[in-house]
Amino acid sequence: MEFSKEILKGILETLILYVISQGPKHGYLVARTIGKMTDGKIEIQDGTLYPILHRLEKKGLITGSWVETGQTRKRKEYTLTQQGKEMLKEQAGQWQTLSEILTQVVEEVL
Amino acid sequence: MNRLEEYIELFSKKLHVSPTDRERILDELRQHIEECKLEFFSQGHSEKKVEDLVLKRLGDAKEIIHNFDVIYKRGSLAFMLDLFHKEGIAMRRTVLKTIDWIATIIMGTLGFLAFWLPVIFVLPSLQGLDHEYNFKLELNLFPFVYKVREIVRFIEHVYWAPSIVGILLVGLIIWLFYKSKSKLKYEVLKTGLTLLSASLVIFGIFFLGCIGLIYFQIVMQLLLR
Repeated sequence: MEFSKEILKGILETLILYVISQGPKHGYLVARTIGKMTDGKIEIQDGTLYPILHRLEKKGLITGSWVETGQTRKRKEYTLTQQGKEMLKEQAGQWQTLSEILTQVVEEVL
Repeated sequence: MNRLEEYIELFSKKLHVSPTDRERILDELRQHIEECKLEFFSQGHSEKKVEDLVLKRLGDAKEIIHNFDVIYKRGSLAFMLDLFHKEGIAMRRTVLKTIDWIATIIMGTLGFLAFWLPVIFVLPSLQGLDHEYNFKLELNLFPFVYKVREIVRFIEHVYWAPSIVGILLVGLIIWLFYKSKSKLKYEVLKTGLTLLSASLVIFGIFFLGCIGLIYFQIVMQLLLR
């Protein structure tokens, strides 16, 4: 299913924070994990992921560090910061309230 | 250059971030593309198909670049300061490119006008000089000046020729502009305008030389009469 950009915008940040909270990950792995986690229901274009990762890094919610993966290869891995953990918790609470409201709306509409 | 390299090149050219940040973003993007390629190659796709799939997965480069620009956006004062900052190369490049274009257009226009200057101002006025007297004078005393004057005299008879050359040159530029591929269009225009600018310099040197010679002759005529 293809979600509208407006809806995805709000969800993606939380999803990315959640995925990184499971352990340090590089951009490619974050994208694949989100795809797998949502059974392909949320298919984001990989390119759009990086500006969000950089924004989260600038906000101090995640930190990126370059890790050597071979003789010449290295990749940037992101780790959740303490501030990021608190934000994820806060966002999860907000989503819980929202989902309760939305579930009620959806049940009435459908 | 394949399409994936072009994709990265677009980021390299269009990202308005510091050189350090740009390199980091590009490294991350290259790494991502490599991972994607490995995944699709392992599924047995051909090279062309892999390119298609990776590009589709990455998404619209312009939109991503815009999103990066928004994240790294700085205030207008910072933007101005950035021009003088050692990391402000991207900003400087944009500003200098704009100045370069404006200068090229102005110089190109002046260059085109320079083709008409001989018709309007200088050459008709040369026709009033005492050629017979100059001929004897220069032939005996100033062989080099005589040679140059010979060229000037020739141009006096075909003074309309530079204007024709100017029109032909502009016509050629317009023709090449329409014939060239869209990627090359601006390069063709830039080269054409630069050619016209160069003609301005050549005309400038030529006319200064002519005017210098005329004054030199006037002085010599006055002294030797």
